[in-house]
Amino acid sequence: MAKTVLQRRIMRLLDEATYVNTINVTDQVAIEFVWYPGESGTPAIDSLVDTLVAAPGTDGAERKIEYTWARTGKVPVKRTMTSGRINIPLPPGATGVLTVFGTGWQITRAAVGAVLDPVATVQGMQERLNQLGYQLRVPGQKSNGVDGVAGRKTENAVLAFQTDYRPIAGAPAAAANRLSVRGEWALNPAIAANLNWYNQVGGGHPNVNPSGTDSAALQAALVAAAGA
Amino acid sequence: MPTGQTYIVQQGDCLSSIADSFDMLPKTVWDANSDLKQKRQNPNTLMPGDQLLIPAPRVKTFNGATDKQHRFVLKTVPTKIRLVIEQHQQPIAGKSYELTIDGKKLSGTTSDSGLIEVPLPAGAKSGVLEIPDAEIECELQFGCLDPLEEVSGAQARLQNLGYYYGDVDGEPSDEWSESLSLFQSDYGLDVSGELDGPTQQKLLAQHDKEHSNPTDAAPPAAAAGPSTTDVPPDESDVPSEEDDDAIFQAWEESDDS
Repeated sequence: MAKTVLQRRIMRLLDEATYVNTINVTDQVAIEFVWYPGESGTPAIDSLVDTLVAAPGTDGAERKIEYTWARTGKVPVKRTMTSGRINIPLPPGATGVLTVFGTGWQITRAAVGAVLDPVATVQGMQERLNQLGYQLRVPGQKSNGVDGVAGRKTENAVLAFQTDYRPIAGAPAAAANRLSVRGEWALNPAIAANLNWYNQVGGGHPNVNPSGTDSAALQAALVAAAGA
Repeated sequence: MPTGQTYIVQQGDCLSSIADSFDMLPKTVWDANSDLKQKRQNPNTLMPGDQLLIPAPRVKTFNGATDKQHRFVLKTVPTKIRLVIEQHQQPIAGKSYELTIDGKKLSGTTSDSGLIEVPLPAGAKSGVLEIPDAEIECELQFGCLDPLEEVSGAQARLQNLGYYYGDVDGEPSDEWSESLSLFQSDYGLDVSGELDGPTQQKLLAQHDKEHSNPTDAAPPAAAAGPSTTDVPPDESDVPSEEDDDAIFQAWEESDDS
């Protein structure tokens, strides 16, 4: 984890001044909410990386999302910033509950220096996919599916991720909508055909090819998308 | 007596640095600006664009005997930075720090209340504070804190207190309002998202904290170099022949015969 250099403005004080400047350094965990790519109603697949709040609703108005963050007992309802970002103060090792869309997420700050597993490992890839909302969980099972074993769920998630992160201008709306069907494309010839269309016409995202789980491009895209 | 001139405050200026550049005492300049004094209250925070009247220098006459050496002492006003450094609202107490100003490195230890107090060389604009044990590296810009009543001044204070992460640009953005609301809710104020009176007062109380025991901090030791601040900077000897233009606010004569 890179050390951040803070920049702070302070008063230069005359000697008789009786007061101080106060600098409080609070470790923040920055979390960015993004719309799920390809959501029905999203104008173009280009906007798939639009942030949650910046994505216009049907009326064109900004949508801010309410969330609560509980660690110290006080639970004020807050709203995401226009960037889709929230900053939650969290010392290393501390835990709190972030509630958004009625779902509570337990957030634990890793020890300073700790990071996700390397993206080149299946475990690290799964951690990032999970964080980005690609389901690895097998229905009916409690585990979130991050188990270091590349099974069909993992492969589907990877394919979905790769497909989602192919911003293409002018994609047919129907095709765009189909992209939000998860874990199907390997079985579904219609979606595979769409993918072919993207490959031929759209050019696709230069860094991502739906080529498997071991490409460096995939890993780079995952790191970029998950922010870690 | 010539009439004074007007100086327009720039970012990074403060009363002491401006007075110093005109070879004046800050108090002399400040007392000549009763309107601004009324408006800003705190001479350590001026707003870029504020106009400061620089009074005309007073003339002092001194008759010196010939064949004697005379020593003139230029009285300058020392400035300092004094800051309390906290992590998660707790003082960073008893940690060693390094402060690099103009390439000179000072090191010291924070006090029990997290206080760091360092005399500032005239003209120093910025420094880098490092507290390795707390993993803190912070670039400090001296004299850049705008007045509290300006949005930019409040933004910088809220940033220092760990609430605001946007640009300190005086623009009341969305993020600014969010941070303000958070601060207000943490301190039991009316959550308006506006920089209202009670919020200003709370910001002032939290950021420009009164500190009754300024000797609390251990004086920093010069890490290297002979000419750092182990000499009390309140008086400096100035050879008289070099300072034809200087206004001497105080002088002494010494008989070196």
